Order: sequence, then structure tokens, then C-alpha cells
Amino acid sequence: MNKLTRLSVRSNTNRGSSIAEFGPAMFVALIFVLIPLANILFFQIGVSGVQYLVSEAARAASSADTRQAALTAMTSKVTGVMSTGIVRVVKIAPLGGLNSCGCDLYVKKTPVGGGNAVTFNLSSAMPVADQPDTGSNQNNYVYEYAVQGQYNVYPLLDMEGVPLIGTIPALGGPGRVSFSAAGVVENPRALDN
Amino acid sequence: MVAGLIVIVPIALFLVDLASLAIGVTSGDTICREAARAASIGDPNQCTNRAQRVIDQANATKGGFIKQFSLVAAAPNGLVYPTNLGATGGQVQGSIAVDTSVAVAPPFILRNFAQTNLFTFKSHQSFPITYTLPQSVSPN
Repeated sequence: MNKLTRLSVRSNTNRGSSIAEFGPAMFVALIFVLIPLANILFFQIGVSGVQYLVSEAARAASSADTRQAALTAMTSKVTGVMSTGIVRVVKIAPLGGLNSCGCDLYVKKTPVGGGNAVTFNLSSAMPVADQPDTGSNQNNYVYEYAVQGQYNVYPLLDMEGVPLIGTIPALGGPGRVSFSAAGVVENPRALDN
Repeated sequence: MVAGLIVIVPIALFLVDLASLAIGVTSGDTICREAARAASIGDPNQCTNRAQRVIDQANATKGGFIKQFSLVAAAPNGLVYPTNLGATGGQVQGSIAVDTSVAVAPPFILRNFAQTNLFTFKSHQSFPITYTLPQSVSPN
């Protein structure tokens, strides 16, 4: 007599597949989403650092009593800020600038009544006719130190070797950041020499 | 995994937006300070023009998520002019108060929660006047 036996049949579901796919999915998410996101955040911190650095440099120059002192104050402030705090944590590299500090110092002379500003590079002395002490220049113009800084901000993890993402600044490789800041010339006689 | 990313990605973009707002606010404060300082070292009658020139220069070099710096008001307070200028000139007493605003457009998410996609932040700075009127007679 034949006995009918019921064989247990394993259900043909996809239960194990999600675990098998987790590894590749994690890899793709890590490379194309999470690390680029971390890089964006790190880049944003770097941008904040450059903005802080440039504005501090302008403020340091504004109270100088000579043109040379303004240049020295700017470069030493940039060096000081880059070696401390959050700017030290993020990877920032200066691009050119005075003594390769990434920043250049200019003076902007703007007519009080409105009109175009004239810019002078402070690596050499200002023409006498444009100095604040000449005639009534100090009343007719606003004099400002203008610091222009240019830096490469590097991402947290270098991904220049990864296709597509590697070519995008700030995500895969360094992003170039330019900031300018101004500080009023507190001592107009500083521009006399 | 997908659910995690749905949460993480917006949070990261939100943080970037917050950072851009913070940069905008500090830039607005810095420009307001410079405008007030520029106004306070010149003739008090020209304080609005002097502050406006600083704002104009800031607008000429702005970019990215910072859309516009604006001068709201610039006014002298407690002005006292020297009575006898003589051979040395004299210091004008008082202070200059300047109010500015900055419009910031966060790049990702937060802009959708603001009218015209812009957040506006106001700043106020006041500086004592350091303007010296010239002498009325020759010192020699």
C-alpha cells in the first residue's frame, strides 16, 4: 500500500537576496552618496574658513600706520589664522598672493558722491595725487583696504580617481574659492609712503 | 539603505544651507561695520553717502548665495561741533549709527521656505565720530 507522504517544500521566496545585495548597495551608496556628501560639508567648512581668513586679514590691515605695516599685518594674520582653529582642520592651499599667502592687498578709492572706484595695488606706493592727505581727498573719497584671497579647498577624502565624481570640484577634487573683504583705512596717513 | 539615504541626504543639504546662511549673516555684519566705520571717519553731513559707497563696493564683489547688500539707514547721533577751530582744528563729537540688510539665497532646501527664495538679515552698528574739522587759521 502506497503511503502518501507530504514533503516539506522550501518556499521559493527572495528572502536572502536583500542580504546579498546589501554589500554592493552599500559600496555604491558610500562611493557615490555618503562620501561626496561628507566632502560637500567639509568644503562648506573650508569656504567659511576662507571667508573668515580674508575678512580678518582686511581688519588687521585697516588699523596699520604705514603701507608696509598694512602688508605685514595682512600676511601675518593670514599665516596666524591658517595655523589655528577650524582653518587648520580643513585642507586649504593658497594660490599665489603676497609672499604666497594667498591674499593680495589693494586700496580702493571711491568718490563719496558716487562713481567708479579706482584700485591701487599696495605692493608699490600710491601716486601722491591720489593719497588721502592730498587736498581734500579725505573728504571727497572713501578709502578702503581690499583683500582678495584665492585658495584651493580640498575635500575630506580625495576621490580624483573615481570616474565622474573625480572631475567635479569640491566633490572629488579641490575646489577653487575666491573671497574679497574690505576694511576702512583707519589711518589715512598710512598711505603717504 | 534607501530609507537611510532619504533621511541623510536632506539633512546634509540642510546643513550646507545653514552654513551658507551663517556666512551670509557674518558677511552682512562685517559690511555693516565697515559702512559705519567709513561713515564715522568723514564729514557727518556725508555719512549716508560714505556708507552707501561701502555697500556699493560690497555689492560689486558679492557672488554665490549672497544676493544683495542694502543700506537701510545711516544717521548721526548727538552731534556737537567744535566752536573755536583756531589754528588746530577741532574734533566733532557724537556717533554714527548704520543699519544694513543682506539677502541670502541658500542653495538647496531652505530657499523653498522663504518668500522670493531669499532670507533677509539686518545688522546695526554704531561708531563714535573720529572726524576732525580743519583749522580756520594758518598755524604759522
